[in-house]
Amino acid sequence: MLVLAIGVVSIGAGWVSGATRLVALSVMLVSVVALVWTAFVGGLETRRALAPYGLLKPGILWLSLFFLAPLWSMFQMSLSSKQSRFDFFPDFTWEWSNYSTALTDFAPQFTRSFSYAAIATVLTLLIGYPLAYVIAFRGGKYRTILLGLVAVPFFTSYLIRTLAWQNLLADSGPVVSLLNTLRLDTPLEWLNIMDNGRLMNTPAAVIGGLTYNFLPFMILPLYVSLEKIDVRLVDAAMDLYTTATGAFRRVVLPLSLPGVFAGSLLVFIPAAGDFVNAQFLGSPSTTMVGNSIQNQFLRELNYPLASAMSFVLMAVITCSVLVYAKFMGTDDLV
Amino acid sequence: MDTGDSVVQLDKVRKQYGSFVAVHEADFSIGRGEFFAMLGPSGCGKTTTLKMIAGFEEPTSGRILLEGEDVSDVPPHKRNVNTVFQQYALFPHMSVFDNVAFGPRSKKLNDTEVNRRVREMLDVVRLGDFASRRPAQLSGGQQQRVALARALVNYPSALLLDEPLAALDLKLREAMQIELKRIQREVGITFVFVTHDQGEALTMSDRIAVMSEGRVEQVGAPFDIYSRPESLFVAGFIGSANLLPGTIASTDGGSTRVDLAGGAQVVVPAGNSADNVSLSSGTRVTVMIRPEQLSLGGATGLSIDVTDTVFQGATLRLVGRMSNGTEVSAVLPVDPQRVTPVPGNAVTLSWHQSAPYLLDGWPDNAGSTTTNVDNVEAAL
Amino acid sequence: MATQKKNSTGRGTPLSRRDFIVRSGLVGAGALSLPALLAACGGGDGGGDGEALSLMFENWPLYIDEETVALFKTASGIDFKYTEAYNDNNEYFAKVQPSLSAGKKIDPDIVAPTFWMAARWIQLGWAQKINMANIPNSKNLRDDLANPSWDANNEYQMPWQTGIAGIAYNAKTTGRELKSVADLFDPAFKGKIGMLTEMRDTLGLVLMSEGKKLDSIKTFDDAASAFDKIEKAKADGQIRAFTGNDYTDDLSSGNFAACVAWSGDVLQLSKDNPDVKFYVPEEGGTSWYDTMLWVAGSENGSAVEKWMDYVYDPVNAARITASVQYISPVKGVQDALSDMGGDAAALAEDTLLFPDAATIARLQSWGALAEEEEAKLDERFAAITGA
Repeated sequence: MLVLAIGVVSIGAGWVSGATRLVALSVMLVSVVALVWTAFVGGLETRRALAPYGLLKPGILWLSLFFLAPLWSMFQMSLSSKQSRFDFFPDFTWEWSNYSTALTDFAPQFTRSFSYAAIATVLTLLIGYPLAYVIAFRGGKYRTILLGLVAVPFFTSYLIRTLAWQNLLADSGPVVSLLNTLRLDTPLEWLNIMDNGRLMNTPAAVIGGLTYNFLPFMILPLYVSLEKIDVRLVDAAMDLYTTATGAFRRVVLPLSLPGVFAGSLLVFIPAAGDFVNAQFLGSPSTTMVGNSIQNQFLRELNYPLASAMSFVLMAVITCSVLVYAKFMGTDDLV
Repeated sequence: MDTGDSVVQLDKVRKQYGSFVAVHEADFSIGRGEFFAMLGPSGCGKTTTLKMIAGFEEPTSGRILLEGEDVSDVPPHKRNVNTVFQQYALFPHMSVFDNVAFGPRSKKLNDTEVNRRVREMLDVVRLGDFASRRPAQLSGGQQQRVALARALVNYPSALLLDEPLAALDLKLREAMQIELKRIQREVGITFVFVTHDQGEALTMSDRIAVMSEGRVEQVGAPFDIYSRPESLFVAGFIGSANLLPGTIASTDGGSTRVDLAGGAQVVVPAGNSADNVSLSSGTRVTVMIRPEQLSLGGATGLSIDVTDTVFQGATLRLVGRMSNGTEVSAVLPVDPQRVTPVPGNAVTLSWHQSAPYLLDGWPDNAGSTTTNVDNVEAAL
Repeated sequence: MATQKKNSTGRGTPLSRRDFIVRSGLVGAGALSLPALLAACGGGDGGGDGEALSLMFENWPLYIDEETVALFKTASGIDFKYTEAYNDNNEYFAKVQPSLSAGKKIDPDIVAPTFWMAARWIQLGWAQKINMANIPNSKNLRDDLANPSWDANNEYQMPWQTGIAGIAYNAKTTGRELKSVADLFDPAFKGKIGMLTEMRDTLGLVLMSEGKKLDSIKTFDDAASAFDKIEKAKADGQIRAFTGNDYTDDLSSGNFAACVAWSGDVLQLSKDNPDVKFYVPEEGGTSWYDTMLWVAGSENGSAVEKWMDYVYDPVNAARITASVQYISPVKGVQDALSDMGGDAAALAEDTLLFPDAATIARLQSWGALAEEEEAKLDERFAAITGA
């Protein structure tokens, strides 16, 4: 299995070529034949021992082909250098400067991505928690319908939803008009949410778009964890001399933390890499790292730099998730 | 124990949901240090009554007094009573210690005091070594004791227990019954105990309130309730009984003669009747004779055809039918010297003259009641 | 001009542009995966040989009328396949690059890169010389488009359609007429100015407003001052967004008071919203065009020649113009339109389709840029547009 996976990765990544590739292929072939042979001819014990690996096979192959191989290839690319602008086959030269370029030239984009994603995560939590709470505890027979409504936006394309926001937030659009009528424009202006009488193409619009688009990813895991909580625990807490608020703080909230954790990850990770909201709702001052990576890949054709940026993005996300997991102590939860 | 030093008093408490009456004018009081059971089949209103005492439900009318004070509309967290919930409702994210410390911490006691009380109470329930465990790491019986400690640590005026043993297997239940009694003696707090298991109620309680369809049928000590039930329901629900419908033929001096539907006549001694029976001839009554009060043989008695015999170790349960089809059961001592009846035999069952007891009216299903279904379920 | 075509055709509806955005978004999503996977595109053998000629033209979406393809098939007997997969110069370049740079064929025989991208293809050796002798109608090519510096002998490409970039404004929002690029930097329009992500148009207008000649721009340093000006306007919040052709919505809704724009879009837009106006700035507008380029490796040269000859016939060209409403590179189209009568005849009078001599005099085009310098310009522009 391992041999097979390595083989797929190496061929997929263009790691080996020519004669080596032939050798790798035949090694893989032999290992597959050997596996099948043992599965049919081998003793019962052998077959039993092999069964779990057999079940893992589709998963491992899938991951090798569509995750590990591209990942490896991208890693290699991120350390390659181009001889000229239209050198389409960069050479692998341990070009670490791609990483320093990614970090120095695109520091504002990285900072923006993570701060926008973090703000959006907090906002989805603030909006999603009460909603999930009400559905889980007060939804009664309407639970399914209410959850369905939460998921309804998914039926429309992500892009279409974001484009619809362009119209909603337009300078003469309904939102700005309403805010003006309510005389909320001045305080919002003061809070830096509105800029010069507009909402579109501001950081607020981008964060708003992220919040809106990823809200269901927060609500659904929150709902799952809240729904599992035995309401009698609240009774028990209140029986033990605590108020409804205290019961929420000491019992419901801690028990829903796995949902908060899962929801935050499901929102933060894609939001940090998002480029759609910044592209359609933002301005040149709100571009996120996703836009930059897209630009480097598709327009500048600077694959090494784009790969390096992707790796930095991945690394920062992975680290922040690990820190967050440590901080939340979710593994300690039942 | 009635009014003198009552901890909990229900004053014509009624609870109605829409047109459905869950509790009809419950009116009784529970004394200090008493082990009090509310017993009845599911849906009889016993849990609703308990929730009203705890404060989770508000009475539609009537008052609930706690230590003499009207608490009818006081929220649960301000009532000095604590509940042991049916599935214990332990906080899964907290250690045993933190579970038990929950109440004292809510009351803002200082850490030393919290620590002292929790340790003390964990010792009482014999879980001193388990303080740092999570509830999920404990057995059912241990969880039960944590729930007890969590409630008792607050020194409540009364401890309310909602079917506390229902989730345990039979062996553990029996052990926990004894354990509960011990703990109650040790802490001296009033226990109000809801159960549908009459055996449990009889074993553990000082007094029992038997409830049916929202009504309190009878309140009394286990022995009184068993030997002098006030209604057919109580007679049938507590223990097993042969309920034989009949009509009063005559009363002379003290004793009453009753003609049974099956043809036999039973003499009921004076005083052996429920308070509401009118002892005049022609009244429809039911004669109750407990199975263990019947014995084999004798000149006069009930003639029955044996349909079944069940060997139960020390005793033999014999089931048979009278000529009119009324089922009768008897619990007989096992005597190796004697021939045991087998199905198909005709035998006569007799009783001590003090055994028959009169109840008002006829039962829906005449015959013997055995262990009820709820009981069997609970045992499983 | 990369993304403009589809909106400005006779058939063009707002839906067509949305369609484009969705598609480009999907391409964008794919972009985050491996470049190696992009190599999966292309390849395959498209060329037929022997008696029946075949031809494939990959053009921008909604960039032709509904009849020409069928008419050409009938007239020539060529097995002609017309596709609309050319959506974006840079993205298309990225898509075909793995094949062409490895010397493999791609499916289409003719593609439609914009002139500067055509220059890059020629430079990279991805285009073949066309035998103009076999294209009699090539004499109809507008003189101003003949022999650009990057294709000095006009042997690699023929223009498909041309257009102008200038300034567009919403008179209702501005409250006055705009005639100069300097107006885009008027503080009164702070946060209401849009510019195009197409560097040659945005940068070109600013350069001309500084009095520079576009074909004299050879190095990054030549353009540095214009970059600074744009960057400062962005930092000041003067510029609200850099857009593709989605600027039309912003313009008609009033989000933009004014912006750098393409003539064809505004021609369409002003029909629905008379407040929206287009002007070729006094200091100069850019002229651009999309080409027809014979792709390296294609073996259908004679079919390519037949097609180019066909669409350079003024009558055929006029039919296309009537539908797509871009400025035709073909001489005689104005007369042919007049001859068609009806709506088409009205178009013959349109000053945006047939600019007057004074306007034409203000138009300039970019020359070819050295690879290194172009890279520097692109990089700086990307940094400013925030990508």
